[in-house]
Amino acid sequence: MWERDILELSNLLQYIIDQYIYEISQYNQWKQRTDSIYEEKLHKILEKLLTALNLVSQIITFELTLQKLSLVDRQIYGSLFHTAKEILARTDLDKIRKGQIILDLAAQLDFNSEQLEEFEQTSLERQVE
Amino acid sequence: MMELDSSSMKLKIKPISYPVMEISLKNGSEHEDDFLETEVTFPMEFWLSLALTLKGGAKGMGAFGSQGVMSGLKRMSQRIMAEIEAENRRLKFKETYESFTNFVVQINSRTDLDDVRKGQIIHDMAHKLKLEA
Repeated sequence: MWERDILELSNLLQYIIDQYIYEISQYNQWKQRTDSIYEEKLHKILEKLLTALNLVSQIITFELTLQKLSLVDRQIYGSLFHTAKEILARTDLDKIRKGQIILDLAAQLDFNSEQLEEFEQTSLERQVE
Repeated sequence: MMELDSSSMKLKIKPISYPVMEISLKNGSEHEDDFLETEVTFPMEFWLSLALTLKGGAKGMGAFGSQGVMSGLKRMSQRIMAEIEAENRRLKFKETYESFTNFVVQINSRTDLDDVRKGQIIHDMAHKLKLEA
């Protein structure tokens, strides 16, 4: 999903550069053109630009959310390890019980991974030409 | 706690120590060292029956019973049931739990990883094992 988005964005930007920036650089030639073909072309370029900007916006939002989730994950992983360490140090539990408690605890943390997967699946679903 | 004449028997029930209970026996003699403390393994049926009795006791108290005692009995019953279920899983996945603890010990002793990374590795391994109860 992620690589596809970057590739799509890169293609869109290339298209805009080829079709729009190049013609702008030849301003005089551009200015003289007032026919309907030109208007149609300009409209199409603006549409592409809009799509590209939307895509950039979504990628930034996606990155920010990923970063937030990663921070949450860091806290959770850190506290999981500290709890595991405390459980390992307990003398009233045998190895099997220790393993069970740590494993059950780690399994409870899956909600965040599920949240992340759900986010990845839904946030970038859109119609891009 | 049960007393008979001057003898007494104390039974310590801790769900976490299932299926073991601590028993203290004191004889009625004058000797202070005439005292026995031991651990006894009780069968699952006994614990199950105890949990059901506690639950029934809480229900039987009705509207005039103390809310604190009622919820305490219920909680104790639930803890026992949870421990019975946990013990069943321990019996079923004994080797997995044991090797998982060894794995956590190994990760804990590594000096090239920070706490977050250690936690992540432990989490990932637990996720891989994902035991079906």
